[in-house]
Amino acid sequence: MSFLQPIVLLGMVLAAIPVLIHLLNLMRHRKESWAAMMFLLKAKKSTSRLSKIRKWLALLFRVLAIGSLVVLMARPISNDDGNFITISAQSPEFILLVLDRSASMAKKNNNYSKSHIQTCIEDFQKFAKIWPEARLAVIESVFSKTIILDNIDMLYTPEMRDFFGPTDTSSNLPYTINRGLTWLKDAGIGEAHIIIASDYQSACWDIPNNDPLVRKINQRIESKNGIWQMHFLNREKSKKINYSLHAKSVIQEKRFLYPTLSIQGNEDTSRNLGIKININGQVMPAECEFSYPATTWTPIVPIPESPAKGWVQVTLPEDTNSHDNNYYFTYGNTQLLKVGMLVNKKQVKKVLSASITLKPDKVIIRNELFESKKQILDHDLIFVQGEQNNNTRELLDVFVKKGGNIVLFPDKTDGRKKQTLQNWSPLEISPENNNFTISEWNKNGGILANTANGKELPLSFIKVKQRRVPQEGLPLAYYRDGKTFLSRKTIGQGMVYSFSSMPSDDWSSLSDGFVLVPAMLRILDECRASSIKVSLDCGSTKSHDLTDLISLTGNKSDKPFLHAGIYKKLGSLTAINQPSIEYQSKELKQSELQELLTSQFIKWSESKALNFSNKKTEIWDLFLILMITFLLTESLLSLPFDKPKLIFRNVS
Amino acid sequence: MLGNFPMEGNVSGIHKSTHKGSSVEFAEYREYTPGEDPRRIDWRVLARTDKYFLKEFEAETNLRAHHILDCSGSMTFGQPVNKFEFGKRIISTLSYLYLHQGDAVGLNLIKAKGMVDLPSRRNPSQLQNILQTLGKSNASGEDFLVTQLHQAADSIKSRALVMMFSDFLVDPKSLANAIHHMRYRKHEVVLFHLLDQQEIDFQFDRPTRFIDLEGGISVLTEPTVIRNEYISQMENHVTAIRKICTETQSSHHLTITDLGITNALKAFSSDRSSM
Repeated sequence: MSFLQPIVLLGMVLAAIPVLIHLLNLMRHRKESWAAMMFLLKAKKSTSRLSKIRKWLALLFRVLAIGSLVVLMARPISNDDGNFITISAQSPEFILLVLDRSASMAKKNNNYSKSHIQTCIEDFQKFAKIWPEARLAVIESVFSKTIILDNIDMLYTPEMRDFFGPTDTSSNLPYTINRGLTWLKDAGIGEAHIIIASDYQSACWDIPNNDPLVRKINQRIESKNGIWQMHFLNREKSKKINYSLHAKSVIQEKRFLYPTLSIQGNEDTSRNLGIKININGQVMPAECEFSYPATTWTPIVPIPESPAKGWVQVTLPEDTNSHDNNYYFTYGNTQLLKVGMLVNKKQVKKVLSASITLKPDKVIIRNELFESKKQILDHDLIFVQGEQNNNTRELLDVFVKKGGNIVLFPDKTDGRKKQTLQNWSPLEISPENNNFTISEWNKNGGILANTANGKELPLSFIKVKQRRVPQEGLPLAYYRDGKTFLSRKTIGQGMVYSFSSMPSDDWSSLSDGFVLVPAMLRILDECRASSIKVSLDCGSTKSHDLTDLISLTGNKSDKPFLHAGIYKKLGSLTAINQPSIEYQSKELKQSELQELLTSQFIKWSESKALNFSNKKTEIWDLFLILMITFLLTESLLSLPFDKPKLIFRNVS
Repeated sequence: MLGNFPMEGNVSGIHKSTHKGSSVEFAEYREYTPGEDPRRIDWRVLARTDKYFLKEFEAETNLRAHHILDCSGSMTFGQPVNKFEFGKRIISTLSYLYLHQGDAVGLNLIKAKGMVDLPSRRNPSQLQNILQTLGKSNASGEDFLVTQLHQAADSIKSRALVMMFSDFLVDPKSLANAIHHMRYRKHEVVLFHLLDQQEIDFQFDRPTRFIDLEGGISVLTEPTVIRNEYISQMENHVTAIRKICTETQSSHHLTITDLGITNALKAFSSDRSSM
């Protein structure tokens, strides 16, 4: 509890008035001659301890009543921390709002009335009203630049919508918070309250990667020893029905598009969803049979012969968050995937080339050596087999971290040199007539998933004579003895697939192609899906670089780094979608953050956001009730327990 | 103003006597014994029963109204008229009334130094004597009521109506002994229990130092805290005295001095009439 008018607390000395009056009365007693002394002495002697306690309690309640009056006049406000009373005005110099503007903040609350971001701004407004003298600033997750507010109403002006309104971006909250703290430090701000308004979406915090940064934030707050206080606004968890849509890949075959769409929903039921497919402005209705929790849907989208380039918008039915109901993509892009080959074994090279050139209009194979960073980064996918020199290995490492994809095959030689992409187990050779076979694999997703018509890939028919098992990454398929056949490892923004055997006759029957070909084509589709030519992430660095674009699907004032949609510049079309991580609905538990943010100056509201605001409001009414209660109790204590008997009524 | 019990007067009066006599008040029939006055034979009864019966009538005599006034210091308490003054006035009035109906009146003043005894007489000048004695007296010192009541019980020679005027701030047990003594001596006892309204209500709004009117000791206390207990003690005391009076067939008149003599006498007169 703190006070808006702490000076009034000096009046607490007034609470001593009842005690002083009591003492003065004792000193200024009057004298009375008395006859019935015998009763007086007996009464004084036998006055019960309870009467004396009542007398002192009455005095105590008088003191408490005056104390409550003084506290009431000091305008107390509640704190939700362990410090019940803080005798200071605590009027901060600045109140800084760190605003998460990621797409998930556009979800509406359970009343369908306001989005999370609106609720957070209102909470911030209430918070700010407690300290009208404090200056206000906002740092939001899109630009991560601090904006000083002249007044709180600026948050609602249409001109500031680009800075405080909802977006289709993702966010990196630890980074934004740290930027905010840096601004406070650079600006030499003294006492400050930092209000964190976020929905705790895991992707926005990315704790595995941001762990050091979060700890640094904690340490920065702790080092300020209470001068800076951080408050986490809690938000009401939405339990209303919501569906979201994003595409895994988009494949164009002649005059048809085959987008592989993933539809997620929180309604535990199967139902048909009426979906609108907008092709260059022409709406085509479609229907998808949704099964909880997620369904992969691949509609066939016919595209007109003219124009050669166009766009498609897929829209789900309206629900609590309209921002994740759309997916946009373009077609007609002739950009070919660039696939590199760093394969030593001739047969392997031949088989891989044959696999990926099944789609010659999509892929271009480069066999030249990679000698510079620029050359290697100019690829989308690289097949690697055999031992590479140090320079190449380093280049491959950079390539994958920047978002490239690599498919690794083992080599017979035992790699004595340091491996960066994968650690292989020693070579294993199967006994004759008892080859290694595959028994388990991920049939629901990934590159070994069942075909569109539900047929399994025939992995169990593969016979492996020699193998070197990849030690790292997520296993996607297992041998019968439980060892990994294929693994997937994420490094930086890229992906490394590691096969345990080679598509050559002396290693395995992979070269037969019935598993290798579909797997390779799916890897190519994944690469194409991530190509910037199909879609850009809203809020990404590249989206910020796009200028003078006009939105075809939204408002003309929409900007590609804030809002998803189809944008046009001259003859070029660009699809902007929410970053794929925004579709991850997993939420961070407060306890996970509390493990890292342990400072006593970081406060967590335990109830809903609005309640949090109420907690920070004045609580004078509580003390008014207390004062009245004390006065009533004092009055009751002053009353006699029993009325005098009627013995003296019938007197002459 | 009649006595409740038969009196032994020396002259004819309006009060019942212990002897049979020639009043108009029928007493009883009794068989005739030779030698008695034949004029008292009831001839109507003789005609009906053929037996001699004497018709007897109550004798009526005067009474001795004896007033005992407590002159201890506690009697000086009270506003606007203290209990002692109130007692003097009511004794004076009653003395006048009793003398006026032909009864003898006496007075005892119980003081710390000793008892002033004015024997009962029916002489009209007795009123003057009583008034002079009361006029000279004042209240002070400790209370020797019980001790001197025993003396008074013995000193009053024949049956009398003994009226005590006091606040009776004494031990009820010892008071009971004294009243029993009185009753043993065939006296009819009436207690005028004089109290001031303040003594009953005990209404004080701030701490007060109470100084004893008899002993001089003082007590500083907060009346609001002990009020209930005080009133309870007072009630118990009055109840105990009432109980003693009931046991001894005595009259108890709780008299609040603030209410005035008229009310006190009305209550007394009404009480006597109803008996």
